[in-house]
Amino acid sequence: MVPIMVLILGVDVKVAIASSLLTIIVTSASSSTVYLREGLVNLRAALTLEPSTAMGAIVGASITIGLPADLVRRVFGFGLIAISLLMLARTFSKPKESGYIKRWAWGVIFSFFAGMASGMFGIGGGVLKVPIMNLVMDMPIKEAVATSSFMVGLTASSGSMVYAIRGLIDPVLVLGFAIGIMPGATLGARSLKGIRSRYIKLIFSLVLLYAGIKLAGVG
Amino acid sequence: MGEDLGDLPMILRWGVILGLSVLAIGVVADHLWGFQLISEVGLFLIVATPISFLLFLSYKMMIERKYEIVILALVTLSVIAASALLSLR
Repeated sequence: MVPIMVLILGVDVKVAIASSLLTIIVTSASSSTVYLREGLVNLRAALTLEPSTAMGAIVGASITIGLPADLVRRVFGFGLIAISLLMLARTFSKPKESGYIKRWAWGVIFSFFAGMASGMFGIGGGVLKVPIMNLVMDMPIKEAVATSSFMVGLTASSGSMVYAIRGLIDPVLVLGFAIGIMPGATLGARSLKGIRSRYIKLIFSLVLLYAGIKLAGVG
Repeated sequence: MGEDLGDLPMILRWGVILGLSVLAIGVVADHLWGFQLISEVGLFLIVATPISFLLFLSYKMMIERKYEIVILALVTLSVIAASALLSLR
């Protein structure tokens, strides 16, 4: 969302990050309602990892606010490049399937950085949280996706508080994107049923990589 | 794996729907009369939805005597509140 707001709509990068976090709360609330009702969310894991993630989000948001807009744009670009490369790597890696969750301490430490990325870049952070839970903590992939989806809303809520206090959220952007995303996600999910998810991830990672290069100004 | 939460998760869905509805009214009010308070309330409702869910969750878990979840939820709420207060400085 942030690349669309900045590169296409010409919105200030800090306002875009702040407004994106609010939109993430809306999407996370919709998806995690389903996951929570189906009992797919591991509440113990989510609530153990969330304090450090929320702290990270608030630290990340405070860092972004303190930096000049041009630097934020570049840092965001490099962050996006790193995330797209991580997504590319995940596209070709096989998720772990285990029933016993391990390495809680590492999970808590890494979650802080996932939260920091969320607060700094206005992303949900699922792209970082899912590998942390699945690859580091050995949580089964479906459980990791559902748990991450629930955590994303809480993390975005914590990060967006810092931006909201400073009046950096654009209500029109939030409303427009939130309304567009809800039916768009349903329509997209229906029309993409026939396409293999690996190709979708690949295309999405390459689009993110391109946006990251443009924002970082290295292309 | 997961807890049986019944209809409690609907707080999340209805919270953001309420927030977006108030925000929509607020955006129109701001556009027509320059009145920003309603859109600020809408934004607040959206931001507060996940946090309110945690409060209701801890209450439900307390009734069901699942104290581990209660403590974890309250710790999460305290960390969010403390960090947000610190960021004000």
